[in-house]
Amino acid sequence: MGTKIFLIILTIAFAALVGFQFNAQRAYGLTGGRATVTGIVTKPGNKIYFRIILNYTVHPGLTSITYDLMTRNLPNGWIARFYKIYEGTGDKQEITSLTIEYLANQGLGPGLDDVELEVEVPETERPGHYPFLFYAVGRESPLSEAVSFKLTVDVEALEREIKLSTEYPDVTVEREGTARFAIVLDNIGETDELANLTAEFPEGWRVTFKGQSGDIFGVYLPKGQSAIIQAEVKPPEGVAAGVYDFIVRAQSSDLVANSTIALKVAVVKAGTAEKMLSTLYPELNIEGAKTIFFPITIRNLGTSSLTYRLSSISAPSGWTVSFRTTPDDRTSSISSIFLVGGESVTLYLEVAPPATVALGTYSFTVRATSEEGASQDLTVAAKMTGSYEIVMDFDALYAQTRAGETASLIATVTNLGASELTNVSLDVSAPSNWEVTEIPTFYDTLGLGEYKTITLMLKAPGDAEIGDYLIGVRATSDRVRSTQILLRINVQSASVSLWIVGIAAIVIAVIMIALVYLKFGRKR
Amino acid sequence: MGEALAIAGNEMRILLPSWRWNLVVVLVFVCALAGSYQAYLAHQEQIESYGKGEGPRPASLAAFASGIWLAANAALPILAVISGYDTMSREKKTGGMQLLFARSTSKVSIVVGKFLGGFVPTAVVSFSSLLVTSGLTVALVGSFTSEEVYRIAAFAATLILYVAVWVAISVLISTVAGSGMSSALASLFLLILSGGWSITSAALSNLLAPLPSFWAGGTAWYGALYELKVRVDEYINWFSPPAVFAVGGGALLNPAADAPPFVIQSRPPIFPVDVIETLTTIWPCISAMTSMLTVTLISAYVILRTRGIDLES
Repeated sequence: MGTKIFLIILTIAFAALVGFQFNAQRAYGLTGGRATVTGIVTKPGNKIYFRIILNYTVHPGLTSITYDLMTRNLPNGWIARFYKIYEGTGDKQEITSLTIEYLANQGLGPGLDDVELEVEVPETERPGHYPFLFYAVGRESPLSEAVSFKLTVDVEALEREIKLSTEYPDVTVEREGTARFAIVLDNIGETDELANLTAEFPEGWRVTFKGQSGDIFGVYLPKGQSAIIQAEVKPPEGVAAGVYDFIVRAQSSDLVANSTIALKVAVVKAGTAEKMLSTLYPELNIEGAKTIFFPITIRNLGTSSLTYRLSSISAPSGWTVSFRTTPDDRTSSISSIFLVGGESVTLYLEVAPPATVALGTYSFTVRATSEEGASQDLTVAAKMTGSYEIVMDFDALYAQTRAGETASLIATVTNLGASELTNVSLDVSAPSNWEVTEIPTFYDTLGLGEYKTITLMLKAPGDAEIGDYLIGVRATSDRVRSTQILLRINVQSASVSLWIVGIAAIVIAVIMIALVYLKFGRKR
Repeated sequence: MGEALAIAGNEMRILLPSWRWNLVVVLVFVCALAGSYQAYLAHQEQIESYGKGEGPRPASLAAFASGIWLAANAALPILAVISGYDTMSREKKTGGMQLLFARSTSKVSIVVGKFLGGFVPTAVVSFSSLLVTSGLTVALVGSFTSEEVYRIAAFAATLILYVAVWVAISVLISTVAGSGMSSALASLFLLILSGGWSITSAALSNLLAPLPSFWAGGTAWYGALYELKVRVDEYINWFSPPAVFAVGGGALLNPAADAPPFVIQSRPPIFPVDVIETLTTIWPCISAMTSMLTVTLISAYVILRTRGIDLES
């Protein structure tokens, strides 16, 4: 065979084989695939969705490819469905396969499409970690055009929570009277609950719960529903004037979900009343620049109905003051209120700080004025104690190094609190014999919203075992510390020894070839 | 056996000084070196991605797989073909075959000797390229775990079996072919055809079960035809040495890989797959390559026995 012909044939054969084998994904075909989210946390009974992107890079001779979509190792009872979502209309269509056009020859780039995988978790599924596999297998070329990857679902236990609340937890009652509380029991958990009602009360008092059908001691609440319970509190004969505390408790039969509410009953002599304007909490401590709510009780001391005008007399500069029916009410503020003679109502005085506020105590005075002209002032105080929060992030959570060598990572610490932080540094928990260097060692101060970087250098000991090491790192200051971040440092044996091993392997290869050539390399 | 070894020795003495063979040996090592360096660069990128919480955990085995894949799938099969493409045709042309027959050399010894003469140096080069890639991977990327060493050892055995199949195929074609040129062309054509088997199998299965591309399905005959096409596509893969090797070798070098589509699993895998489980799964691939080797050599013997009478006369 001629030399030129041989070289031409050889080149063609090699180029063809390289073309078949050398591709973006190397040994595993020309199909690429990934999920934008590979692990989802959910609850039993929920449907979860994975968005999966398939791309078809190039395949000589095939202008389109159809992938059969499937899952494997899905736990028993789970249901998986694939959907194609059409852009523009947003319509969903259930599918079992997907055809991708290869459009590079039209200058439109590689074929790319996405599907939505819906997984339905049975209501009876237990909490746990459930991995399964996604498969897309190309019909035209199932040998090489297939992609699979692992997706995981972490099933959490259902939330169980009930909540007792009342609009008027503090009630005044005459000696011979009965205090009535309208208590709302909300089931804000994710399962239906049967709640038993109990109460703690002073000796001699009598507490009864009433529903629509009379006296009750338990309430069945479907999830997301609420019920109103009337609690009637009757004082004993000859009770002394004063304030009495009560606790009402609702709890599920298995005691998992429970809630309590504290109630107060002020016993007064018949025909007398306390102040027109009062509060149980005249001073509140808060951390950081947050909005505060003071519960304020307004009483009509007379016997005829009256309208009371509410106003703010004094407040520190920049603070805003409003009266609300509930702390959650953001839509309306109250400027006046109508009260039947002898009745009372509890409102919430909302005080909101300005964007920047120094630590200290701030006083607020409000006034209630009746239409008859009687008025009373009430002063409350908010003590700002400051808030501290520091967060840390790394440029990478994984690094490789060799025994005796140093891995460098850059930490970024950010002050997310409402106060300046001082003496900011890193607290590193490294295995013994590791050398830890931080550049710089610390920062004197870190202002509000400010962030700074610290280079963390971790030097593995020369005799470190090969493997992964976990290094715990926290950002600390005089006041607060961040949550711990675990860095994974992969240590390999000293580079010199690895090079020796590598070169030894190559030398053995050379010797083998040389021996063969020495023995058979020459014609007899 | 002595005759076979003597013939093998003679073959190696002819093959090793050949510039064609040496050129492809150089190509093998260039592929191994370039592949290893490219794998090293990819490994660095993978470390960066993994640090950001993306992509799989970087592993030395993955770097080795990337490094060796081109040499194993492109250069070494060509070397195997070059090792055996003119073993028989050269003897026929120079009269060496008549001489062997005149000495009453058994035809089994001739086939086995010619095969060994091509296989032994090819196996040595294959093993050497594996050592070079392993050495570079260890030096540049990092050491292997014991599990990874077992996987590489199993891959080495599979690779050597694979090149043996190609040496045997080229010996068989050389037995039939009239000249070295036609033998080389036929062997390399077969190599390319089976190298791009995904296209070949799709074309063959379409030929055997033609489906109109414009028809979206929905009828019974279309479904039956489609099923037939899928089955043909599955079974036809077993006739391609590169396809079978890609399945077996790919699974050995990727513990995160489930069994590829045309290998049926007996039970769901537990990731990462244990090397023993991988071997169990891909055992049909090993059996298929062993069968190809055996059938090819027996065919060469039968043809030589049939046509040897013509040569003697």
